[in-house]
Formats: sequence, C-alpha cells, structure tokens
Amino acid sequence: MTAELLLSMPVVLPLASGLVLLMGRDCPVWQRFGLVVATALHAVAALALTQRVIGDGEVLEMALGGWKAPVGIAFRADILSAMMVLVSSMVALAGAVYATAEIGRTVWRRRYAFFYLLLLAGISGAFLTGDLFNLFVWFETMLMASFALMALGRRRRTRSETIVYIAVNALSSFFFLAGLGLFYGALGSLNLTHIADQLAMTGEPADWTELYGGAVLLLLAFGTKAGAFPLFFWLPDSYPQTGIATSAVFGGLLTKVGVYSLYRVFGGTLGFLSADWGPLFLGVGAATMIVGVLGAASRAHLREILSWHIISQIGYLILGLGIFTAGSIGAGIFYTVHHIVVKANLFFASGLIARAGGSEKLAAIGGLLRTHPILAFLFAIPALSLAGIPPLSGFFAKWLLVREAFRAEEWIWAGSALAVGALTLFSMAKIWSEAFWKDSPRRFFKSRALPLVQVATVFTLGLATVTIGLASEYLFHLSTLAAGQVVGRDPTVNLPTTP
Amino acid sequence: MIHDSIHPACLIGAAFLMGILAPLISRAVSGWVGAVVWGAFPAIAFGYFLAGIPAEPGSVWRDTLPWLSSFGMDWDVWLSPLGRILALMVTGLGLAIALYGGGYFKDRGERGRFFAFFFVFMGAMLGLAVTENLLVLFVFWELTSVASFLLIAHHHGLDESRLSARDALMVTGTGGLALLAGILLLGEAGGSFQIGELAEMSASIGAHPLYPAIFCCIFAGAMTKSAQVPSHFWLPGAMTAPAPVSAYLHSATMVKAGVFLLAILHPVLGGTAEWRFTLLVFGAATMTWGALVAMAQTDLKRLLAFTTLSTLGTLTMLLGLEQTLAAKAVAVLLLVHALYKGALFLVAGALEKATGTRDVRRLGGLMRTMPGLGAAAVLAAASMSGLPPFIGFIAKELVFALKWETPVVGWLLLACGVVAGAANIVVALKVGVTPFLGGGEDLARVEKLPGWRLWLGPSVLGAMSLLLGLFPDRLLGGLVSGAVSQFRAEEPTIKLALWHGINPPLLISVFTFMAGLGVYLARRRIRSTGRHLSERVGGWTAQQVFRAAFQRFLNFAGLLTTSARNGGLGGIVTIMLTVAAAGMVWALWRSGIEGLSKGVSPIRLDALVAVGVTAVAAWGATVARDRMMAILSLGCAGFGLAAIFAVFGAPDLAITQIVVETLTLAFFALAIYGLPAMMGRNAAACLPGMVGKNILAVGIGVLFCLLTLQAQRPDLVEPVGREIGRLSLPEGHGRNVVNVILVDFRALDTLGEVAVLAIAALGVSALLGSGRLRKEGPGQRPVRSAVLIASARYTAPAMVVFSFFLLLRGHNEPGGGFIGGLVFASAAMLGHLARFDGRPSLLRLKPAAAILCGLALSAVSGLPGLTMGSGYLKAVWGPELFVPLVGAVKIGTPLLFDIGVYLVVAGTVLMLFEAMVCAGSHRGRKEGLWT
Amino acid sequence: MQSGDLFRLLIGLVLLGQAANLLVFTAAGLGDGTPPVVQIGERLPGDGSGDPLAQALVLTAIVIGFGVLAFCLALLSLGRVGEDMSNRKGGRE
Repeated sequence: MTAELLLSMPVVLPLASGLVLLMGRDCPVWQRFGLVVATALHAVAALALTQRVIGDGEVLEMALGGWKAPVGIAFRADILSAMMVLVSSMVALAGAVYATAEIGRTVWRRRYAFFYLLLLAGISGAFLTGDLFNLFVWFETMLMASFALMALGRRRRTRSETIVYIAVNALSSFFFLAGLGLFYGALGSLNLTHIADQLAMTGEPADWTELYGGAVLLLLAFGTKAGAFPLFFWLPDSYPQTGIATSAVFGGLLTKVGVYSLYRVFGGTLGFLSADWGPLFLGVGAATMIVGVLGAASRAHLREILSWHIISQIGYLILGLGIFTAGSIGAGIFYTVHHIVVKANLFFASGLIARAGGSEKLAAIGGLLRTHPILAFLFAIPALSLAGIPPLSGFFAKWLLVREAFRAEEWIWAGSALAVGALTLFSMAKIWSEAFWKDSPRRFFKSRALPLVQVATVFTLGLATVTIGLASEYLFHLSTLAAGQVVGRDPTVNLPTTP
Repeated sequence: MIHDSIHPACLIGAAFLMGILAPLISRAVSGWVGAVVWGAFPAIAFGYFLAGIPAEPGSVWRDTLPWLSSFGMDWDVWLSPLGRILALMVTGLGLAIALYGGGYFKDRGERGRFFAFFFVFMGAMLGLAVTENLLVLFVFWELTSVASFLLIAHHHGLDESRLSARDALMVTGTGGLALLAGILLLGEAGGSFQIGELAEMSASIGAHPLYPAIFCCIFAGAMTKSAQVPSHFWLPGAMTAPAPVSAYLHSATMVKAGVFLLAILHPVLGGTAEWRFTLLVFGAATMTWGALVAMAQTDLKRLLAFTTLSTLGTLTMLLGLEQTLAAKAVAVLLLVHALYKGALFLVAGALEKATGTRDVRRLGGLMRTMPGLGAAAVLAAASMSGLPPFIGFIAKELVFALKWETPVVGWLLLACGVVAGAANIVVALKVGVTPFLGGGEDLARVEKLPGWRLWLGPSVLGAMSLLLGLFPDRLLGGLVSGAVSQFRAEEPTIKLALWHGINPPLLISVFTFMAGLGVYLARRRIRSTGRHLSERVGGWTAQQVFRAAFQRFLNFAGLLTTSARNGGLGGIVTIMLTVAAAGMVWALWRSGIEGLSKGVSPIRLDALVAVGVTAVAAWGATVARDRMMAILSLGCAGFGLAAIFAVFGAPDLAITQIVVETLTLAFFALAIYGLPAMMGRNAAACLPGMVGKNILAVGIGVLFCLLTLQAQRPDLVEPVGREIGRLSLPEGHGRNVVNVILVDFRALDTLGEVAVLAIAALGVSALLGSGRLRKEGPGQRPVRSAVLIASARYTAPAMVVFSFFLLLRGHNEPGGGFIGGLVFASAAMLGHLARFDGRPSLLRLKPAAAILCGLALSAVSGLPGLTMGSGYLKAVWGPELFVPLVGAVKIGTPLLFDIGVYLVVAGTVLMLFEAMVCAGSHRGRKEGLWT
Repeated sequence: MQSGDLFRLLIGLVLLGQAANLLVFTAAGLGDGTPPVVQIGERLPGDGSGDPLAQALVLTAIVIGFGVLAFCLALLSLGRVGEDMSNRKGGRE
C-alpha cells in the first residue's frame, strides 16, 4: 500500500463511515453494527500504518493535494503518531463495542455514531498531521464532536457542565489560534518540521517576541486541553456527566491529544525552548499530579475519582516532558500508552460497577464482591495497574519515569511522583473497599445482570494491560525510539541501556 | 541438585496456579480429601527446599531467567541460605496453615477466597525468598502487600476490618514506594540490581554521596513492612483478619520480609555508622514498646501481635549489631519465632472458634476438654518463654549473650531485652497456659469442640520447637552457619548447643523469667494500672493519630480541590485569563520591549476609523445592560472588523465576516427571545473583585495589542504565503489566491472545517429533536409583515442566483463556496421568515440531506487524487467551461470540493436556524414554566 | 466574560474570537490594501498584497468560531442554562 493510502485512511475511513451512518438512523441495529464495523476498519487501518512505520522503520509522509510542505499540508507518521493512532483505535473499538449494550434507541437516533466517528477522525487527524493550523482544525473537529456527544447525555445538569466544557475549550482554541498566528508571523510557516528546521538554522531567536508570545499561547491552549494545572477545572465536572462509553473515550483519549501536542510541539519543534522551560514543566507537572490525586482521594463518586486521576496522570506526562531527556520523553510516551488503555478500561469497569450496584456514588453501593466476583477481578487489574503495582503496565510506566527523573537528578519531582503513587493506591483501594467489600446499604436491591459484550470489553482491555506489562521492554524501546524521532536529534541518543 | 531438575520458578508458578484454581477446588473437595489437596503443594515445596540444602553450608545456587534485560530486570534466581530459611518457613508454616484453614473455614465460598489469596501470597513470599534481582524482588514485595490487604479484610462486611486493611495497605504501600526509590537509587549508584554484584561494590556504595538517601529509602520500606515503631500500628490493626491469616502473614512470614531484606542487603549496605545507629534505635524502640504494650493486653490476638512487634524489633536490633553472633541469633530467632508464634495464633483461633471469645480473662480450664490443643499451646508457650530444652531457649541465650558482649550500649540493650523477655513470658503464660490450666469466674463455655485439623497443625509446630531444641546442631547447624556466612563474608564454624554452662546470659535469663512470672502473677493489678494509663493517653495511640490525621488530610484535599471551582465558570475563565496574561507578560519581558516602535506601518485614516469603531463597539458590547444593545454593539464590532479586513485588502474575509456577523446577530436575537431584556448588573458581589476583573480584562487587551505590535515587523524569513501566491495561477489554476488555498493548497483544513460545521448543526438538531418546525401551523410566527413578504418574494430568489454566482467565480474573484453557501442560507432564512406561498422549491432544501451530500462530495472529491497515487485531495483538472456572467470556469475536483462546501455551509446554517426557531417557539409556549 | 452569566460569556467569546482573528491577520503582515488576487494578464498577485495564507486561515477560523457559537446559542436557548449556572453559585451575579 502506498504511504498516501496508509496515512489518509485513519482519517478518511471514520469520516466516510460517519457519513454512511447518518443514514438509517432509525434502526439501532444498523447503527450499532455500523459503528463497530467502522471502528474495526479504523483499527485495521491503524494496524497497517503501525506495521509499516514500526515494522519497516519508515517515517511516512504525505503531501496533501500533492503540494509539498511547507506550501501544502503534510501528514506525517513517525512512531509516536503510529502508536497513538493504534492505541486510540483500540480504545475507540472497545468503546464502540461497549456502546452497543449501553446506548438507547433515542441516542442512536440522534446520530451518536456519526459524532463518535467524527471524534475518532479528529483524534486521528490530530495525531497524524504535521501542520500547526491543520492541528487546530482537527482539535476543533474533535472538540465539536465531543460537545455534541456530551450534550447527548440525558441528565439535566449535563447542559450546564457542557457549557463550561465548551466555553473553556473555545477559549483555549482562541489561544491556540492567536498563538499559531504569531508563529506564522514570526516564522512564515505552519509546517512543524519546517519550523524546526528554520529555527535550527537561525539559532535561538532571543528577541522574537512573537515566538515567545506564540509559544506561551500554544502552551496555554495545549495545557487546557490536556488538563494541566491550573487549567484543569473544567475536566472533573464534565466527564462524569456523559455516557460510560463516551466518558471512557474522552478520558482515555481527549486529554492525551493535548499531551501529544505538547510533546510534539514543545518536545520537538520548540525543543530549544524546553531546556529553558524545563522547570516550568516540572513545576506544572508536579502541581497537576498532586492536585489531581488530592481531588481523587477526597471524592466519593466513581467517575469523579477517575476523572481526577486523569489530571493526576497528566501531571506525570508533563513531568516526562519537563525532565527533557530522550529517556524521559520515552517514558512519558510509554506512560501515555499505558494510561490510555488503563483509564478507558477503568471507565468501562466503573460503568459495570454502577450498573451492578445501581449507582455511581460509593456510599450507595456495596457488596459486589459477593454478587459479582468476576467484575471484582476485572476491576482489580486496571486499578492495580493505575496504582503502579508490579508487574502490570502502570508499574513500569511509573518506575521508568522515576528512573529518568533520578538520572536527571530531579530528586524532588521523582519523590513527589512516588508519593502521588501512594495516594493513587489509596483511592483505588477506596473504590474496592466501598463497592466490593462493604455490605450493600440497600437491603432489597436486586442488581442487574451485566451485558456480556461489556464484560468482554473490560476483559480484553485488562488483557491488554497485562500484555503491556509483559512486553514493557519492547514498548519502552519503541517509545524511546519515538522520543528520539520527536526530539529530532540523533535517535540513537540515550537508548535504554542496562544500568 | 534438585534445583537443576526442577526450577524454583516452577514452584512459584504452581503456587499462583493453585491460587487461581482455589475457588474451584474449594467447591469440589472438603474433609480428608480437602486436607490432602490443600496440603499437597506446601508439603511438596517444603520437601523441595529441604532436599536442596547443600552439603556445604555457604554455597548458593544461582540461575538467571531472562526477562526484561534492558531494564536490568532479569529474574536472577538464587537460593541463598537466608532465602532457604525463609522458604522453609513459608512452606512449612504454610503446610500447617493449609491443614488448619481447611477446618477453620466451613463455608466453601469463604474457604475458596481464603485459599486463593493464601496461595498467591505463598507464591509471592517464595518469590521474595529466591529472587536476587532487587527489582524483581520488589514485584513480589508489592504482591505480598496486596495479598495482605485482601486477607486482612477477610470479614469485609465489618467497617473495622476494612479500615485496618486500608491502614496496612497505606503504610506498607508507602513504604513500598520508598523501597522502590531506594532500589532505583541503589541501581544508579551501584550499576546493577543484583545483590551479588552490588555486594562486590559495597565499599564504593558506602562512600557514594547517595548512600544516606539509599539507606533511608530502603530502611523505610523494610521498617513499614516489619512494623517498626512508629509505623507499627497497622500490625495490631491487622488482627481483624482470621486466625490463620494472622498466624501466617502477620507473625510468621510477611512481617519478616523487612528483616529479611535488611539481612540480605547487609553485605551491600551494612557496616556503616548510619546502618548501626538507625537499626539499633528503631529496633530497640520497637522491642521495648511492643513488650510494654503487650503486657497490658487482654485480647489473645493482640497479646500475640504486640509481642510479635517486640520480636521484630529484636531482630532489627540484632541486624544493627553486626556481629557473627548477631547473624547466628537472627537466623535462629527467625525460625523460632515463626514456630511458636504461628502455633499460638492457631491456638488462639481454635479457642475463639470453640468458645466464641478471645478475652483471656474469660478463658480457663480448657485442658480437659481440649487436650490436644492444650498440649500444643503449652509446648509453644514453653518455647516462647525460652525454657530449656526448647529452641526458644537457645535463641534467647544467643540474644542475651550478644547484648552482654556489646560494648557501650550493651547495658541499655540488655535492659530493654529483659523487658522484652519478661513480656514474652507473661504473654506466653497468658495465651498458652491460662486458658487451659488457669481458672476464674465468668468463664466462657465451650460451644463446639475444634476438629482434629485445628489442633494437629499447632501441635506439630510445638513439637518441632522441642525437637529442634533437643538436636539444634544436627537439624539447624547447616542452615544457620550458611546464613551467617551470607551475612558476614567469613566462614565461621557455627555450633548450636542447648547448654553452655552457667554463664552471665543464663543468669540474666533466670532473672528475666522471674520478672516475667512476677508480672504475670500480679497481672490484675498491672492491668488496672494499665487501664488507668490508657485512659490518660486515650485517643493518642498511633493508630488513632494516623486515622485522624489521614481524615483531616482528606478533608483538606477535598476543600482544596472544590474551592478552586467554586467560582463556577467565571472563576475558571478568570484563572485561564490570568495565566494567559502572566504568560504574555513573561514573553514580553523575556524578549524586551525595544522592538515596540519599529515597523509600525504608516497609519491610514480609514484603517484608524475602522479600528476605532470596532474598539468602541466591542467596549459597548461588554458594558451594555440591555441584551439587544449588547448584541447590536457586538454586530457593530463585527462589521468594524469586516471594514478593517476590507481596508487591508482581504475582500473574501470582509464578505465572510459580514455574512457571519449577520447570522450571528440573527441567532443571538433568536436565542434571547424570551429572556428578560435587561441583564442583571454585571458586578461581582464585591467591588474589589470587579476592579480586579476589569484590570485583568484591560490587561489582556493591552497585552494582545503589544504582541500584535511586536508582530508588525519585517520578516526575517519569507512567509509561505508568498510562495503560494506565486504558485496559485500556474499550478492552482485560480486567480483568487485565498480561495485557491481553501480548496486546493489547504483543502484538508476546509474539509475539517465543514466537518465541524456539520457536527455543530447535527449536534444542535440532536439536542432539540429536529423536524418539529415544519409541523407547526402558520400563525405562530411573530413577524409576518406584508413588506417583508413582498420583498422576500423577489429578493430571495435573486440571492439564490447570486450565491451560485459567488460560488462559481470564487476561484478567480472574491467569493467561493463559503460565501456562496452563507448567502444561499440567508436567502432561505428570509424565505422562511416571510413564509410566502409558492417558495421556490430550492429554498425548501432539506438541511440534513444538504450537509450529508456536501460533506460526502467534498470528501469524495479528494479520492481521484488518491487513486492516482499522488495523495488525498490532489486536484484533478478537466476542461475549462465558459459560464455567462461568470466567465471561464475550470472544471476539476476543487470545484466539486467547493460545491460540497457550499452545500454543507448552506445546510448547516439552515439547520441551526430551524433548530433555534423551533426552540424559541417551543419555549414561547412554555413561557410560564420557564420564566 | 469573567462573570458567570452565560449570555455575557458568549459575547465575550465572540469578541475574543474576533480579537484572535485580527491577531492572526495582522501578525502575518498587513500589506497596503491590495487584495491577493492575480489580475488578468499577470502571473503574480500584487506586490503590496497581504499574506493570502493568513487570510485563508482567518476565514476558516471565522467559520469554525461561528459553528461553536451557534452550538452554544442553541444550548442557551434550551432550558435556561444561565439560571442553572447562577443558582449553582448561589445567586445571580
């Protein structure tokens, strides 16, 4: 297959299938089936892309419309992009399967599948594009689709949370736009590789206000989307308001697109700034991590806890960027992959818990260990992984990052990362203790049976977590290669060696 | 050697497998068969480790299983002497517990759950014992913590159980993270994670600047696991677990893991002043504190738990003494304690099962009814008291001898040791003797005699204590001398003997025994004093302090994380703007403001007017209290902006801005339909807040201006736009560069953008439930003026034609799909508002269909290029057509693309419009309800 | 904009969007007012014309901004979210 085909499919497929699914929206069976098939096709496309990029070790490029960058828009898939597209397609597929048993007729009728697929198209586009403005457009696509998905939530309060979500994201979009405008003014180009080349040629432009201003604005924009301190306040209120499948995809993927952009732009294109800004990233990362985990520890609502944990984990990812070695960025990428899978899985599992127990409030449920022992097991895998218990994926993610922090002699940050781990363990234990151990507060509650497809989804993602743990060496190797490509220096620098 | 034929890793795997299968097995078997099935694995494993004892004491069997080599995380398996002792304890005790557990848990589900975690724990402990690589060891370490968490809250319906489990997890989990940090640092300092290799580097590690940090972290891990003061409180709390769990995890094996870790790391980290000092202080403190508290307890299991603390303290202290004799004492004491404490816990469990109480004051005279259990208890208690000829005696003599020989601090340690010894005796008497031989009033009655499985295990353990005491050197000599050689890199000849003649340690022993006996006899009085004391310090036990502090901490965390969002949306926006302002100030400061004056292009009057209008209108929009005024001001600002675009040579932008602004106004007007006309005062509750916000708002504006001004300077690099301008006509076949960019150079952006529009439209219609508008009868429209109808009849079709014109000419002159679509939509809206009969059918376009077709058309127009192998959205051009009024129009995929854009834009706007009108009328009907 | 009122918030968003558009437009250089259109008989757009790419970007941004705004307005017209917001904070600002 040509590089062009491989690169366009992850975007074009969901777009086209979304359009197809606009038709026949009165038939839920068709919508369900179509959504699963469409996401499966996307997964196949992502696999083919990954196979080419990782298996054959090429960096694929495509000039859209045949216009060579920087004149036209370039799509570019290096290892990081391919990994991200692949993981998102997995989560999206899982979400689609899960949604078949969750979403009701009216919501299908309201074109749930279309929004879902356009969200996926936006996410894939953001991962694959090599152009700053095009990134903006994909951000907007993704966000608009997420607005729509969020507004489809049934509860009345949802709307006000949606407004907060939209307003904050619109604001950050304006920062993004203004930032990239300044960039274009300063450098006359929008292509990320081209910008990096020009910067490398001219050296550090000490007096370029536009560049700094633009960078600050972009940082704000990406930071907001990623949910970094102190710009995260929109997140923990809005995510729990959506459906389960939606929140899993949001929780797994949306913030990660922000993080990806941070890595791509501040790790790669503006790498020279990051040396300067390292302390900023470190501080922001640590603050995000700590505030997030404090929020999670003090909540008593399933998905609120998980949402706060998203913030906390984003902190780790930013920390990886702040340390700014090939190893630490590699560890950050590894962490991202692990986190996407685990977090989506936890959201799915929380949906099952809520279904089995009849509520998402921890105080209102209990006794599930007796009634649903298999669910307990399925929840335990991602929960322990998130808490960093070996030999699951979260342990490797955490210790690789901490190791890099130690190597860079960032003692305080490494220490706070570990301390946050303890509280993560606590809040996972809290869910376990309340939902599974405690006797059910309701005496006559008859819990519902769990849909098999949903259980299978959680099981499969759990298996993926275990696999990431077992294959962590290979994955970290890839991540480090990816980090090398992102940073753009000699990709053989700082490859993992036996300590 | 047996390890060569069967790898130790197989055993660990088998243990995990047993754990997974346990719930199933539990359902299938019980009784005799059950005992055999449960006991089989521990028995085999015990035999395996016994058979592998090397002839030469110090020799170590090693093997490496490759795992994560590049992380330095190969599974280095070793069977060190200390590891073998631990493995024997784990499997030997495990055998007793497996038998006991089969009889203790009657319910099959409960039994299955217990054995599942039991075998997982056993596997993890064995892994801990045979792993040389510290990172892999950490894996097993954490597993034991998790298994302990799960086992402590076996009775998980009880709040206290869950709390205790949480405490234990928090303490050991935090310690585990510290340990991880320590291991990582050690790996950095020593360049390896393998203990053997690290031991060879011990000199350089000891001198490494990181050494204090490494030692502190690792000690923190060991300390929490082995429950040293002040992290000890989780261990007594863990007594909410069932007796077999307490016997196994919380006295015999898991809590020894910390001591074990320190012992195997002694060759790496030991020998420094930090090591000696820390271990001695913490060890002695734990030893004494545990002993003192133990004496005042009345609950069987708490009595045992506090003496376990005391013993753990003793072990830590011994490791701090660092002598050959200390190593010997550690090895012996580890084994001895496991034997007698395990047995006594099992006895306590059986007593509770039989009588329903664990209160020693209510137990007595049970020897007659339960002779087997009684015998086991007395044997274990004798060993615990350190009476000859039990092995406990040897251990105690060793400890006393050691303290006796220690210079300087020896006397202090000796004093602490006497206290600990006396406490051991008191507790041994209380637990092992009083319930069976003692008497008393208000005794609990035996409701059910324990079965054979409940006394067989403890009896065997008790008998082992006696047997080992009788033939110490024969049975233990090899193991202990191996352990000593591992601990200190020398090869001493170790002899274990029961009788050393009359020497100072023996005398101290006798004194201790007398003291203990005295305390025991005076226990009633002491208990009342103890109660008195505990009332004094009530509420200040470590456990209570921890729980209260933790709760405070959680409350604080909740407060902290909710306070930030209490500002609501306004608060969030304020935070974002503040951060933005700070960032921009920093950017300006970082690069200096000297470039400010240069490069401002000559100011033109028309531009100035446009900017002025925009600024004033924008200001107006923000301060207006009348909603309509605000909207109109907003519109003025938009039109001002359009004027700026026009003045600076961007006709496409200007037209788009005008049309969009018009639509925005219309939508705003529709949206506020039904809202009160005046807004509440736009004032934050207090003046300072208001001022602050205003300053922030103005500041942001000024900063934007500054940045923009800074941007007004000659470029150092030629912008890509120039290049595009050069390419536009020859290769893009279009004269209007902006449009060529939109449909060709950067068509993908446009595609994404129309997708955004489509989502917005469909999203809104999903919110409202579309299609209701058409069903509404006429007469509900508030605006139906004759003039409007009359004019719309002619203007609307004209606008439609004009929109086609704009679409087609867009490639060469200002215009294009966007603008055309917007104009078409305006026409349709006009037609709709006027609702005249005989509307051209074109205006009855179905928005959803238009969006679908348009988006599909745009997307499909990119495919020819892709199939021709030159990338998605590559333009394919056909012949040039001449269209009247428009001129030459080149046919090609970009034109198709633009038509798609046209359709989507038109459909979107119409759909949004319909949705808004629908919402407005819907709300109008429900007026009373909503306002 | 910083007040909790949704209506004002939207006004603020529109204004900020316009400001951002203007910023992009001006940052790329303004030119002397000649539109970036290749006149008949020429092969290049006029020398003094502004940057066409920036104009295209702004055009896209305007339309996207409009989409977002329309979505918000629809939410506003549905069920009085403004009141919800204010009530949550205990009283209207």
